[in-house]
Amino acid sequence: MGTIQVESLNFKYRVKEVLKAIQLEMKPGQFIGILGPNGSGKTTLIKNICGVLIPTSGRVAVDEKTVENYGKKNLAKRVAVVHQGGVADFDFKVEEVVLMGRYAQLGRFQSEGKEDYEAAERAMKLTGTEGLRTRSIKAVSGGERQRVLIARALAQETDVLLLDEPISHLDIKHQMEILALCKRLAVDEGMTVIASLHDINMAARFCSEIVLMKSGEIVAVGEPKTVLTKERMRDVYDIDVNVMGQEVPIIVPV
Amino acid sequence: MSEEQHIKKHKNKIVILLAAALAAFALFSVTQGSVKIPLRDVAKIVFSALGGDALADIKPTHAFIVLQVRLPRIFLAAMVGGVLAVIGAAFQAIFRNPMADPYVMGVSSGAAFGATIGTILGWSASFIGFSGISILAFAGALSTVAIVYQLARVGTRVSATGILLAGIVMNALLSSAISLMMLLNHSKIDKIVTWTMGSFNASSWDHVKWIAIPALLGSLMLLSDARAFNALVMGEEDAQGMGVDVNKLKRRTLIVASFLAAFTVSVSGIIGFVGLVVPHLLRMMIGSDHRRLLPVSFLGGALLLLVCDTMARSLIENMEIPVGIITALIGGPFFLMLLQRHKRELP
Ligand SMILES: Nc1ncnc2c1ncn2[C@@H]1O[C@H](COP(=O)(O)OP(=O)(O)O)[C@@H](O)[C@H]1O
Ligand SMILES: [Mg+2]
Repeated sequence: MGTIQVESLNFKYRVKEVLKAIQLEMKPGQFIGILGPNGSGKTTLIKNICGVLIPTSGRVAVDEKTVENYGKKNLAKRVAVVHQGGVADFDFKVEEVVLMGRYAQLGRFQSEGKEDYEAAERAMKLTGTEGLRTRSIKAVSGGERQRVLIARALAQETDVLLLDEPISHLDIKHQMEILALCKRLAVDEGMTVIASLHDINMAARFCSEIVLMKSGEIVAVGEPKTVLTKERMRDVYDIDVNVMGQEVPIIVPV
Repeated sequence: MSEEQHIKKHKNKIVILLAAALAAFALFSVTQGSVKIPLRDVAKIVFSALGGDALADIKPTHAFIVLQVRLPRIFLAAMVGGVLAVIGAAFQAIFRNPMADPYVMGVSSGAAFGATIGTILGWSASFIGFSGISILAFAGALSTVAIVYQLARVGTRVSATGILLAGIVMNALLSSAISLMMLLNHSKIDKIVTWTMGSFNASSWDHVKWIAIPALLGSLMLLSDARAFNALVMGEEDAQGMGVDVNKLKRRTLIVASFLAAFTVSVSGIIGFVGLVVPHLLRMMIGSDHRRLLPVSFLGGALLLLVCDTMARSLIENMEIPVGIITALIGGPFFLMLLQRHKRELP
């Protein structure tokens, strides 16, 4: 479980057409990296998949059922998402933030039970955030916060995990850690992991699939080494590159 | 003891401390006022009113003061303070802004507008113990909220910025209208100004009855959304991702909290700062978990407003200071202090 189908999806903000004829299928066990220049529609696509935005036409289905037809809580049991952007001016402990991921599992007046604490514990372990549990979310570093938010998403125990630019403000070590985690979640836990990324070489190294976007359209989908070619880099990013590497392509701008 | 248990215990301590302080201060407050009545007499009076023995050695006027003047007033001040703090916390959550207050939806200026019209018309009608002014204040508050809500609504969505802007515009409009009415009715200015400064001067058990059930039900409704508030302050899109129906939550909260605010202004006029300062301060002490913050805010708000109202009626002999002035005199500087502190935390 955790199959996502995007069928002839178009999306407009008011009149501006942002996504055009998107056709995609994403399956459990895959770690899909969405690449493309700024403004190419990565964030908009992610928001369409998680139901924050509703397609102008076409549809997104999770396990065959259209996203809008899930109740909010039921969708949150299937799809977890970490959006870009900061944390508001409110103070929570890291552990409290991770436990928030259990919202969909709990009734109005119900408090967290053993299962919920266990789910939060597993999520913190996977993301290496156990050591931060009593720290304030406002007082952790950018990399730590990203991991905490991923832990919160993992506490939802979904089949699908969506991440919008999860490594953009992190140093190389934390970038590696988070992408390695994503890969592990896909390969070992059988999740469908989708992340928008800017670093082409990191994506090539960790993702099983690359979705390459340009101006709201998908230019290519497939394994990194088939998608990331010299010609496409020229077409999409308007730069000349050399492609090195064997199994994993390494893109070097010239 | 683990750190976590330690923190839990520390937080429970605050609940117990606040509840105890509230009870103790309420007792003290009954004895205070133009006539000092010893606690022993108060106990006797309450005991006899509850069906105990007759009062041999107690003046009937004292019994009247305790039962019909001070007790309803104490209940009312505590309840209004509690409600103001709870709705302040709820508004702060849905606007994701710790500076939002119970009157963001225009309740205060709407109520003042209604009260001004009532005062000028000299409307002396009364309804279950309420003056025409209170009734018009209530109506004015609710109509203003409805207008602000309509202005800020796009389909079924309400935007926080839209509400804030519409609230500011309505405030400005109504304030000018009030000023104009006051200019044209010089003789009534005193009365209008006094009303807008808030007071529990005319409290009765009727007022307590009128507000008790909405206060309780409304606060419980808000409390039942506490977990959703937690998710919401992390970001609207994040909250939706966790399974919160953000639009429904915002709509429900705006409506419930504004109704409660309208109830409070109808019994006490406009009382600033309680709804802003109390949740803010308590958040700094116990964190932002609304399951705890909302009930603790109720206790804190009740205590603060009771203290302020007791000062209002006993600081100056034979004169009542509008309680809104006291909350502002205490709350204002305190809030500035918080802001200073906040500024220091910024880079
Ligand atoms: N709220 C919005 N209203 C109107 N246009 C928007 C909005 N958000 C994004 N866009 C536009 O949609 C396009 C795609 O943006 P986005 O999905 O954020 O791209 P990316 O995440 O790939 O950088 C851009 O041209 C951007 O200007
Ligand atoms: Mg983006």
